[in-house]
Formats: sequence, C-alpha cells, structure tokens
Amino acid sequence: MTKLSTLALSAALIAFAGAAAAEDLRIGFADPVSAIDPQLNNYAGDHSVSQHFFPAIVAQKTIGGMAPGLATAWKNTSPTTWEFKIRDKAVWTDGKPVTAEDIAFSYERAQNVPGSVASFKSFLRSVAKVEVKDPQTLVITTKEPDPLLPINISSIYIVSKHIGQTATTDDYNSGKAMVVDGPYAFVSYTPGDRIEMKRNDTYWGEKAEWDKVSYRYIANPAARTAALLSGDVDMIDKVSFSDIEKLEKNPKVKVWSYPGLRALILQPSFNPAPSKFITDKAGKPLDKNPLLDVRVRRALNMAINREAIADRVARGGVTVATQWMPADTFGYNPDYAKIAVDPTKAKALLAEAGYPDGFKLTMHVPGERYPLAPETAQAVAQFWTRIGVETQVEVVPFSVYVTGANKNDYAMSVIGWGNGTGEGTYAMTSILATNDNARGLGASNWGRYSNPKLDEALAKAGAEFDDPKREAIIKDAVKVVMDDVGIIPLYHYKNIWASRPDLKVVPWNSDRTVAMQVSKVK
Amino acid sequence: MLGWLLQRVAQALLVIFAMSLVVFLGLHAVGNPADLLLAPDATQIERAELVARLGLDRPLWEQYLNFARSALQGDLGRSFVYNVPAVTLILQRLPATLELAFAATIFAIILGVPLGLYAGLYPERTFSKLIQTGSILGFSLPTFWVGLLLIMTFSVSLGWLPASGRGTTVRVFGVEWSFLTLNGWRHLLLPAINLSLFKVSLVIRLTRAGVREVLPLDYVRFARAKGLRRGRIVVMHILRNIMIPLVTVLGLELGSTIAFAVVTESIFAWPGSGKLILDSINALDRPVVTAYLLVVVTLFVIINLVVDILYRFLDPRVREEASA
Repeated sequence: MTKLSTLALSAALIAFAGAAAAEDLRIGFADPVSAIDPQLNNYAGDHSVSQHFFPAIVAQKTIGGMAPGLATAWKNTSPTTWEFKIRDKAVWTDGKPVTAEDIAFSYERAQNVPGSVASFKSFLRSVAKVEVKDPQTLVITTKEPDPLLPINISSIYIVSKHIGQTATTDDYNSGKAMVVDGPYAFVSYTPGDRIEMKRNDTYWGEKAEWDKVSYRYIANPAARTAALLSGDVDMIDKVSFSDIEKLEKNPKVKVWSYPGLRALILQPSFNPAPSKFITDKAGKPLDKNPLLDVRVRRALNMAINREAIADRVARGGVTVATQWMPADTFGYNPDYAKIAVDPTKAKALLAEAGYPDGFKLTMHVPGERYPLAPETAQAVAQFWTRIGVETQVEVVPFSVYVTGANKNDYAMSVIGWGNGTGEGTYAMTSILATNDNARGLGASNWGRYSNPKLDEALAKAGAEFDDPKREAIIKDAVKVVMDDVGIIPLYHYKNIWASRPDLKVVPWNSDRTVAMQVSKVK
Repeated sequence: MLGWLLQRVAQALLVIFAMSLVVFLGLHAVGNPADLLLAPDATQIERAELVARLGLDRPLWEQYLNFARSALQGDLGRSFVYNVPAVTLILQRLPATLELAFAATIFAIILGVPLGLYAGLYPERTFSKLIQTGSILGFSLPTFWVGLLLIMTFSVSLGWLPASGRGTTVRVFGVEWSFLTLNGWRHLLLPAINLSLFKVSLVIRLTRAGVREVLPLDYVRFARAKGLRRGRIVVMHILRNIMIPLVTVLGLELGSTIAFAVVTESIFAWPGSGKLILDSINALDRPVVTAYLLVVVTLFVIINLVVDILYRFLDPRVREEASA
C-alpha cells in the first residue's frame, strides 16, 4: 500500500472513531420490532422501543420492584378501586401537559388498535372502568379485587390524547404522531433496520445520558457479536452462548450478565389417551400414558443433572431451575432449592410404577424460538435414556411446533416462559392452571396439567392484598406443583449484554434492552 | 414481437396463479398463524377473537377466494405482524436487496470475465491454474462461513469496513439508495463481495470453458490467419460468441440473488427483503409471504424478458428467427 493511501485510510479511521466518541450510543438488539406504535403489539422488541418514548403510569424495575412512573403515588380506596396521583410537571414534546385524560385515553386505545394481533388488552382484563377525577387524579375500578393491577398496567405505554385520537399506527411509524414524554425523543424509524432517537430535554425524570441513540436490529447472534467487535455498535444484547467465553477474555469488550426471569420448562403430557410418541421398547403403543403416574414423572425429574446442563451445554449462561421462578423473587420457595440427581432411585421408581424396562419417548422442541432448547433437549434425552426411558428428540420449526403443542399432540413439550411480571402467579395463570377456555386460564398449559389445589391457590392469591400472605400462598403452590412434578423446570436464562469496556450496563426491566441502562464509566 | 410478448405475459399469469395456490396451501399446512402472533399470555378467548378477525376459522377454499378476490383488485392484504400493506412493506425493503444483488452481479462480471478469458487463453500458465483452483473454492465454501471470515478480517481485525447494516441513504425517485454515498459503499462492499463469490466462480468457469471451445474453431483461426489484432479477435470473435450462455446464467443468478439473498443479509444485518421473508415465514405472516413470492415471480418474468431481448442483440440468428 502506498504511503498516501495509508494516510488517507488512517484519516478516515480517525474521523470514524471520532464520530463514535461523541456522546452517542449505538445498540445492536435481537428482538424484531413490529411497529413504533406503542400499543399495536405486545411483543418484546416493541416493549423495549416504547420504554424510551412513552413511560407507563408506574414502572416495574428489575431491582426495587414497582417505582413511580407518570403517577407519583397510588393507593387502594377500596379493594376494587385504585387512585393514582399523576405528576404535575410532566409534559409532551409539543408542550402540552400530561394529564389523567391521556392515561384514560391510552387504556381505551390499547384495547382497540386496528390491526393489532397481540393486543395489550390482556393487561386490562380485570379493569371495569377508568375515570378521570381531575387532571391529576385517575381512578381505576376493577371487576374483582386485583392486587396485581399496578404490575399489569406497568406494561401499557401512555400516549397523548390530543394526538392519539386521530393517529394510526402508520402515523407513529412515520413519526407524525411521535409526541412523546419519555427520556428520549423520536428521530426516525427504518423498518427492519433501525430507530434513531435523541435526548428529550423536556423529560420529567432524570436527564438522559446520551445525546443520540441509534437502535439497530441485528437478528443473527454471530452478526451482533461481530458488530460489537468491529466497533459498529457500542452495546449488544442476547449475547450468543457460544461467544460468552471468548468475549469475556477479550480486553476490548465487557460482558454484563445478570440472573434473569425467563425459564425453560418441560411440560409432560397429561393426556389420558395413549400417545403415539410413547411406546414400549419394541415400538408398540402403550395402553395408557405412563406420564400420568407421578412416580414416572418424579423419576424423569431426578434423572436430569441440571448442573451439568448449565455448565456444559449453556456454558454458564443460565442458572439451574428447580421451580418456575428463580431464587430471590416473589413466590420462590427455598424449601425446593435443589433437586437431587439420583438415577438409581429413578430406576427403582420406574420399576415400582410398572416399567422396569422403561419405555420409548419422543420429545418435541422448537428449533429457533428458545435459545439452546434443542441442545438442552438432547442432553435431557441422554439422562433419561440412562434410566431406561429411551428418548428421541424431534426438532421442529416453531410455527409447526406451537400448533401441535397447543393441541396437546406431543408427549413432552418445552416452553420458554418469560415470568414478565416478576412474581409467581403469572406462570400459574398461563402454564399451570387447569385449561379453561371460558375463564382464560391455562392457555399455554400445553401438557394439560390439572391440579385443583393449584387452581385454588391461584384464586386465593389473586384476591390477597397482603404481600406476605400472598407470597405464602404462592410458595405453597410451588410445593403442590413440584411434589406432583406437574412441570419439569430446567433452567433460567441469564440476561447477557456486552459492551465497550468504558460503558456500564445494568438491568432495567427484566430482559428489556434500552439506552437508559447504559452509562459511561467516569 | 407483440404476440411473443403476450404469450409471455399469459405464461406469467398462469405461474402466478399456480404459485399463489401452492403458497396458500403450504402455509396453511404448516400451522395456525394465530398461535404465533399472539402474545404468550393471551387467553383462549383472545385467540378465538383473533382467529375470527383474520378469517382463519373459515374453510380454506373460502379464505383463498377472499384472497384472490382482493388480489385481483390490487389489494394483497396487510401484514399480520406489521399492520402495513404487504406490498408497501416489500417495496420498502426491495431497494436494499436490489442494490446488493446488482453490486454482486457487477463484481461477478468485472472480475469473472477477464479472469475466465485469461484462464481460457493461456490454460498452461501457473496463474490460470491458480484461477481454476480458486474458483473451486468459490463454489464450495459456504456463504455464511465466508461472510463471517470477511467480517473477522476486514471489520474486526483490520477495522477497515463496517460489519453490519446499511449505510447512509439518499432519496432518489422516492426510494432510499445507499450506493450513492461513500458511507453506503463502505457498508455495501463486504456483503456484495460475499454474495458475488459464487457468481465470480461461475462466470470464470463458463468463460473459460467457452473460450476453450471457441478457440480451435475455424473462424477464429481464419481471423488469426487474416492477421487481425489479437485484442480484436478476443473481443469481437471470441467473447461475443460465448456471451449467450453467460447472459442466460447471469440473468437466472440475478433473479435468485434478489429473491434469496437471505444468508448474506442475515449475517451482515442487511435490511433487505430476504430477511423480511425469513421473518415472515417464521411468523406465518401469510399476506407478506404470498405478496413477496408474487413480486419475485414478476421479477423473474421481467429478467427473463430482458435476457431474451439481449439474445437478439447478441445473436443475429435469434433476431432473424423472431422476425421470420
């Protein structure tokens, strides 16, 4: 290379590095975004984006539980009425004040956004009516006592009434309706590529750290790592498990890993009819489903060496799960902190249940939806084969998988459950409660597990306002389900980010990725 | 000429109809989009509502007829996921892919033809053998691996080029193009090279084989005997005669690159239509998948048309045949 071109090149590089050194942040994130409209779809990527622009009435923090949002204080005036005090200094970027009217309007709109396929209305299930007492006071009446109301509405982003009334999803995407009141203001959105934002100086909360934020969609994990290593972006989320070790050794990168809420759980089928995915050793169908016998489920549960999976398969990217919630969360039961690995006892239990030679089982797992799920399933299959339950793993695309799982077609299915509310009843409602279409319970209970004691506990917890009492009920529910092995929890994913070494990344709200969680190390 | 054109259009319509039927049946067989679209905590009631709203509870033939009816009126439906007309969504993403595919094809021509010519004219030289061996690599190395290698070398180690995304765009005729800016080219270079690797090899092999075939023919020897300059023989007599297979293959390749640049696009986080279609298939976003394939079929038809017209320029025999 000639001297001149070397010079030109280094000049270009310096210019490039210079641009990156300004107070700008570039984030590479993994979850697809369906729209900038904060109320179109209840998807992970959409949530992360909306947190920058549209604070909710209250905020749910990974550390510290519920925190003030647009409301500074809230209280129950009766078991079914809640009064929220709205802060008086909040303004929209067009200068108009944020009032209770905006919030009431947002709850109305969230339930009727045209074209929404994953509606936010599930967060408002218990709400009977929303009233504006005065511009600074909002009163919400619920159908039944609902202690979880603040947690639920912390997921609904508040838009302005004066703009939102006539705005469509397209208007939010184009920026026309992007009058916001969050830490960052909207600059532009290129679908499938990136969202550009800048600091909102009229934000009511703590002033945002970054002048400009470029929020870029990089779905492929290897591409995200490469983008960080090459300096295209300053921070990435959902670091690939296979890259963690390498990145931790790299002095130009810092890895930030925190315990997470998302669990990977096996759901044995409680279908009374014999399944074509369970046969005897010769391949002949069995006359009844062996998984209905609690001894068989216990045997399967204790055959799995979770530590080995966490260590070898996930390379430290997960923590061992013995129940649906991770340690130190609301409803975690410390009496069930360990599941002893005991293949000998497992074999004895199988023999006792009438399967001394074991049987053949096919488990189904989606190929791409849950990170590491296929590899984990292979490991579990090995452990089960060792006690005589010869296990085959069938990896299918999620689109095929979910249809089969919903119909309870599979003998053993796997679900990644986000535990998004940070407490135990969320999983109880959707994946543990007896499947009940009319009442909307057990919608993702793919194994059709059913235990009246659990259903009763869920009903009781749903009406209990006293936190210690509610927690005791949930802990009891853990005992009920884990004694019964209604599900086989495997591990909780850690939330892992990686950044430039001069940045600090702290968790914000579970696994959401936002600019607010990144700061410069001073 | 006109009759031939009409025949072409009729064929295309038939293909589009058959394709829409196959896609519809295929996507239906995979699973129910509602299960994928809903949030994981949605209740059974919400699911039933969504199924009814999207018309998924109707018999398949009725769903197809509804689709066909609005498609004939130019409405291919709205994306389930993005809530945007499917065609708008695709046209938004297509320019990024078009620019990538054209850049890759141009690379293939400017690298592949000279190298292939050289290897064909001087088959015994060491450099020719190197070209031959190199082209085998271009065929056999998987794109995703080469892509990562390019990123590791030029972005991570050397830091010369960005590893991902599309650069600064400029709006021309209402469409965002990145090949008009320097920053855009910096982003475009690596993915285009990655995508062109296979094509370069293909062009080298085709050119070389063509040259080897044509070289001993009488008209070339005659031209040489006439004392024509070597350059003129190569360009006017050899190259021109081997252009037909080259144009055919490049046309087909261009089409498939536009339609299926998925691997390269996902490694380089290129916001093109390949990534869109992958996401949409995974989400069973039926309107987008159908509309996309429709656009692709149309593109193929157009490319084939252009290729046929090029034949006429390149080969007088085809010209005469058509006018006869």
